[in-house]
Amino acid sequence: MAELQPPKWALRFLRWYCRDDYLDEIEGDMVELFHLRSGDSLRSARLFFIWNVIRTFRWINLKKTQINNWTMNLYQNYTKIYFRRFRKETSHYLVNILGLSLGLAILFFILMFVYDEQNIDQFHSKRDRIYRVVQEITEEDGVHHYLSTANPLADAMKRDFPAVEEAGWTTYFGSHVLAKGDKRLADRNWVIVTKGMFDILDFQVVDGNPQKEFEGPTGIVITEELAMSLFGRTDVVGEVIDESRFETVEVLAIIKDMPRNSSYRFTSMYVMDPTQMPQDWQDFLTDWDTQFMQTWVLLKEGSTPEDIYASKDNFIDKYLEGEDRERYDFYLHPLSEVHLGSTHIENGGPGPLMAIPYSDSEFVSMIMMMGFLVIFIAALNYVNLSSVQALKRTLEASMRKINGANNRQLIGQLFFETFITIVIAYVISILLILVLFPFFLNIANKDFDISLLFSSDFVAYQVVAIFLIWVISALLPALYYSKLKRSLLIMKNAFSGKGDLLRKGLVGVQYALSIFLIIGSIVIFRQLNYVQSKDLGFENQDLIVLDINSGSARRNFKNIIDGIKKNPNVVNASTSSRVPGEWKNIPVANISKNLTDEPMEFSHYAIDKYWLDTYDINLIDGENFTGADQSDSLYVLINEKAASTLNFEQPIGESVWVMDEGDSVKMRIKGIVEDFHFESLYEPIGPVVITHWNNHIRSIDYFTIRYSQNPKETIAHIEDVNATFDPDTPAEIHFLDKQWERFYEAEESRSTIILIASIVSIIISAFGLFGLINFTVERKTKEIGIRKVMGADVKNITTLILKDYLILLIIALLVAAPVSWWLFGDWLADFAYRIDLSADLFIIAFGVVLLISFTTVLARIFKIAKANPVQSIRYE
Amino acid sequence: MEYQLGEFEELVLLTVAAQHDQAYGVSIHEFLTAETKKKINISAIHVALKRLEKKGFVDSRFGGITEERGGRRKKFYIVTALGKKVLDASHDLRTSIYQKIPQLQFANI
Repeated sequence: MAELQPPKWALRFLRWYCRDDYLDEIEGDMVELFHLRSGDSLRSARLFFIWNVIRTFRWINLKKTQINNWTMNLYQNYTKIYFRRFRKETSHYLVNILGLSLGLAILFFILMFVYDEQNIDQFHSKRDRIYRVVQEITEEDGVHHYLSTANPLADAMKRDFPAVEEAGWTTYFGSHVLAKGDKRLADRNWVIVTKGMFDILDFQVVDGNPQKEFEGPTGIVITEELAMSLFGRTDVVGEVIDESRFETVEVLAIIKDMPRNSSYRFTSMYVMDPTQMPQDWQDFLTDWDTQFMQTWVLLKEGSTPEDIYASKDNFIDKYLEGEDRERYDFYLHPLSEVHLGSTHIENGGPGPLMAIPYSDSEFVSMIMMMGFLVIFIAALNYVNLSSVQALKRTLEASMRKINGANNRQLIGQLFFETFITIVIAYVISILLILVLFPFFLNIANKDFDISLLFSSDFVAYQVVAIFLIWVISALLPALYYSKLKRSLLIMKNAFSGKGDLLRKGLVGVQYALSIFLIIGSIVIFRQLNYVQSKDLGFENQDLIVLDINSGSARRNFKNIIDGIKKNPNVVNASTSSRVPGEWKNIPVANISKNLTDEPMEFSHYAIDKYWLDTYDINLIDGENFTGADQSDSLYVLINEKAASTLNFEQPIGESVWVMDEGDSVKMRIKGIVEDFHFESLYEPIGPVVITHWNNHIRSIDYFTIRYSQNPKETIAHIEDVNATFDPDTPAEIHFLDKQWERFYEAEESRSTIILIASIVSIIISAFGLFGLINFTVERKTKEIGIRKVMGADVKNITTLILKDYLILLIIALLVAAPVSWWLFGDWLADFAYRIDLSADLFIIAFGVVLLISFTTVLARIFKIAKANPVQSIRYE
Repeated sequence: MEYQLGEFEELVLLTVAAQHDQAYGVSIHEFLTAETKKKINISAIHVALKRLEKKGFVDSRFGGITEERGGRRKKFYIVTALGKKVLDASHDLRTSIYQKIPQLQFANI
């Protein structure tokens, strides 16, 4: 009979899934059939049996209520024990859960941030084939990468390189005001483009055709929003805007706002038809010596930039002459790198404003590391705390073993418990994210939707993250729990309190990370504080800047200043060619002591006599301009740096040559001003030459107004005055301190993210420390009691508890200090003006960790130390 | 017809009635395979029996343990009064419709 058995595994499978009350009938019938068949052929009978088992696997036959199933019972039991322990050891479980949920929340925030960073500009459908052309010019001070390229480059590339499917340019210069009826608008997000740009980049056209033939040299494409504010409606395709950068223009198309993750977000785009432009424009557009255009290229499918580089030399030789051929080079910079790989590229000329400033991949990986560090610390915490908890659970483990549980089941139990913890932590972290999301967007300077968190990509990240954290954090505690010494098993409190090497190692790692992060947080915080409160050499608060956008404003500048000054809120008003901290490049003037000397480049400002007072820039020697237009024009002021660069014994009264193309004027130095910062603190202060507004190089472009109070009223007044003398241009007004903040906006938002992540990880570590020390104290209750009886005081007892931790802490400091010194020193090196790394950083970090340890211990020890020792000895 | 009875269910119910009090899974299976000359899976018969029992057309009892069943009991089915009524109604319906078939049409077959 033995060989006439149906396949065992099939039978087991059947018994596993089939409901018990059906089993008699179903299994019995099948076995009977098997025996009936096995007379003919055993093989086919077996196959037939298997087939029957498979066919019987139907919903109606499955075990419905699994409550009676022993595995389920086991999990029920695990769950019950879990929550019982939760009630008993609430602080331990809360520390674990809070640590993990904070860690997860930070991790998900950072993942969202990084995801968004990497998806900037990725909405263009031809994104893999789009490139910006970067010009590489070898200059005396090294190689420069410029976005501005020669005006005819786009046309030439399309003509000469077969790999180029389409080429176009974008540019932005001069002022721009749109007017329809009595509505006038000026905004900075405008651009001039060629028709080809609409083939290269994606725009969501709502109405019209941006590439259609139009009358005259330019048409315009505007966003729905702009159409609404200009026309009051959006069905305006074919209508004419009365006034613009190019007089009257026809609206060619209406587009939707460009997506929020676009580096450029144009609201109005002039589409230029070069063939219709007047002759001087045509000359300008075909001039290889002017570089006003940012050139964009769309390669043919299957082509690579190498196809272009192959014949690049011929191309350069064809269009450039003489030594330019050696100095000029260009390469294609892919769209995907615009956001994260462009920090080496300078504009080098006019370029449309970017909606999202460049970031860099180094920062993205740094913040990614930070996210992993936070979750790693949280997992470490969990491992530490759960391992020591496992030691406390000897009794439970032994009971389970006595009842027949094997190691695998004990490990399974801890995995299950960890899973519950992580799921609870996950739910809390999602709640945290939902609550803190607006706050996070604000800090990160981002603008995306929370639905990103639940997109399919992200759900996958979450599952992977949870799984990894689960396995990593469950493994060690589970091993601890299952491998407890059998001999000690049923002896309660057999654990001596002396941790083993591994756990000490983990605590040491955690200490080191905490010290590292505390040092990092302090360095970042101090540097940001330093940057923002550093004396700029002038007072940038309470200053309003008004752009000069028309000839009539420029002609009437004295009247405008006088008019503005009439308001009692206005302390002072002045005009200048540039303002410190302004967004455009600060232009240079060539200065030399003798006409035949090689000229030096000084940053150049042209000002009137009120300017120094308006900015509170100190004149340390000599005199200010007097206000006499003719005589002042022969004098210059210089800053200290310029004075030292020029190296005169007594600069006042000396003369320098101020040169412009072919037009050099000898001017006398009238005064020296204190150095003031005119660029971000990333840049060192360079030499500055200040001429009177009435000079041969550069005209005035800005008014600066210092007000005492009520900025709103002041602005209204400034607008009134501006409208009197320049009725055609809306007043373009900015607060100067806001402009300065822009320098540090990106740095500030990224530093804040890192700062917050660090603080959270420090909090998590503190949680962990709290839990660990709590545990040690609890374990040593009896020892403390005995020592007390023998006459130990609180100090001895604290030392006893902290001794081990102190040694670990010192080791951790020795490891973390040099690493942070090197890493943060590197970070600070980017700033021209920076704080020094000093030893107090390490003392503070050490102190903070020590303080956390002490507070935890003291609170706990006080309770025991004050208590009757008899009770602690009885503690069991 | 107020009671739902599928075609296969009807066959199983008929077999249960035919093998009065001795019908169980294997016997029904062997009988139906022999009668219909088709391969019928035992699980299909089980499912049909469960349904019939639920509808109240058959009743069941457990028999004794036998060696060839691997220690499992037989589950015997017997047709209930309701089941018989349903079979009768079904049979009547079929017969009455069958009798309406004109003879002539088949003369040449």
